[in-house]
Amino acid sequence: MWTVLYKKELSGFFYNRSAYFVIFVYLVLSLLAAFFFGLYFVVDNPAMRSYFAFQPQILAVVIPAVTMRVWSEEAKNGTLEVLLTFPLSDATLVTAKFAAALTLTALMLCFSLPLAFSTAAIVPVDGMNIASAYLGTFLAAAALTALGCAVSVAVPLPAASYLISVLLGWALVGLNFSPLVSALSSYLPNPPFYLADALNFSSRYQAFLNGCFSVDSILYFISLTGMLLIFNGMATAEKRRER
Amino acid sequence: MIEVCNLKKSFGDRSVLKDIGFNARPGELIALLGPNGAGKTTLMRILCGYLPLDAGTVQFDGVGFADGRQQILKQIGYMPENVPLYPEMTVYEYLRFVAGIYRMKKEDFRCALEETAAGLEIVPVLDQKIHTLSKGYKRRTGLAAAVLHRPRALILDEPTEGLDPNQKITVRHFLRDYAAKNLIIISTHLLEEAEALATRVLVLAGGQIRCDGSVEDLRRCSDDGSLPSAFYRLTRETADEGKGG
Repeated sequence: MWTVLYKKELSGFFYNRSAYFVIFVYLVLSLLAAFFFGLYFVVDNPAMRSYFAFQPQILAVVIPAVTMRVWSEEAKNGTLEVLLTFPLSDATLVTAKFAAALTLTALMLCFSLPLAFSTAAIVPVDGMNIASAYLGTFLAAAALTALGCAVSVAVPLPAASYLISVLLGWALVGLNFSPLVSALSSYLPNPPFYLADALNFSSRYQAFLNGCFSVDSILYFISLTGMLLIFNGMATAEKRRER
Repeated sequence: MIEVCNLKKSFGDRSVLKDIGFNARPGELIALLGPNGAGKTTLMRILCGYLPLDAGTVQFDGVGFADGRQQILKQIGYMPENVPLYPEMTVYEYLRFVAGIYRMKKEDFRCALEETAAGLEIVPVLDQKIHTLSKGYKRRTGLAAAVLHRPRALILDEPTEGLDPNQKITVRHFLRDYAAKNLIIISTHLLEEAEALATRVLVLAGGQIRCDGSVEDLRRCSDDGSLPSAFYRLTRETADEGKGG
């Protein structure tokens, strides 16, 4: 059942051509950021840092274009009525739709591989560091995809869903938890000093770019994605109840 | 098989279904008749688990949606009024998708597809994209999808709406055959549809069942023995009561 739904979702992206458009926009934004802001040809790039440094911000803008239709398209076409009367659990619905959107995102990341190979052909690169950066980017993309799917189920209008997902995505990527931890210090005698860093999306992502990520960085992104998917499932269940 | 008891449903302050109750069993083809806005679609959506109910119970073989939602949904085939389909798929792909959702084995799917496609005369369009189909083919594709997994209860909202007379005959013939061993509940506002198909008629008006019986029983509700008069009398009475109340 899960695979059937997953395949249907994935083929749907390519049918309405949104997939091609999103991949094109992603590549243009990524290359512009790498070449103009990251100074790709000016600085040494053994780990393609110029490319990966801007990925969370770019993905936060691009991924909502994929996820905004995940639920709202079903509602618009009326197929949600059929989908919700199939013997499918909320978990199946949520994870199949998420996995399809994440597959498209992963495919989008694959289109940057020619840049990695051509860079490797010209200058010496650190392959393991680049692989680490790809892993970090994929995990960050998974969290942003889960966020977009959760917004899509809660906000039925695609345009509104896109804007809210971009805003929340940027907030997630850029949020600094230091003021929160400082504020806690007035209530707790010794707030955990590592809390701000532990919750910080950017610093977790940076660890992957530096090639020195640890298991807790992987767990951070997996648990963030998991929490957002649980919220997605709760929102779907609520949608069933509120009709 | 289906037991509905003291069912109530409101949307905001508007009470759509008030104290609905009936039992239905395999072998029956029930036509849910009523004027527009009588609550037919709402009742059908509740029966197929799409809408939650406010009060009362709906049970399939003694099990309610709260206890065995997926188990119940496996035994139901549902076609909404506007027949929502995925336009990017061919008819065959859509039916294969539905078969996959119901975990049908390859051989079962092949047999069911042959039988259903032939019975509903959709064989010529199996490889055609759904967005290119005519209204009649779309409706029959939706019906084929609802019946493909051989559900024990088939719930169809306006199954012959928009079909030409020949297509109507095909669909009616198919439904009559299917109802021999299974339960079918259709909603319609066409009296000729109920007369041609139904073994039992439920007239819904003002959120209540005004008549539950055979077509002949419905006919007896009028002075002149005609179905339109009976329908008018039953549904107007409710409208007048509504005005009075």
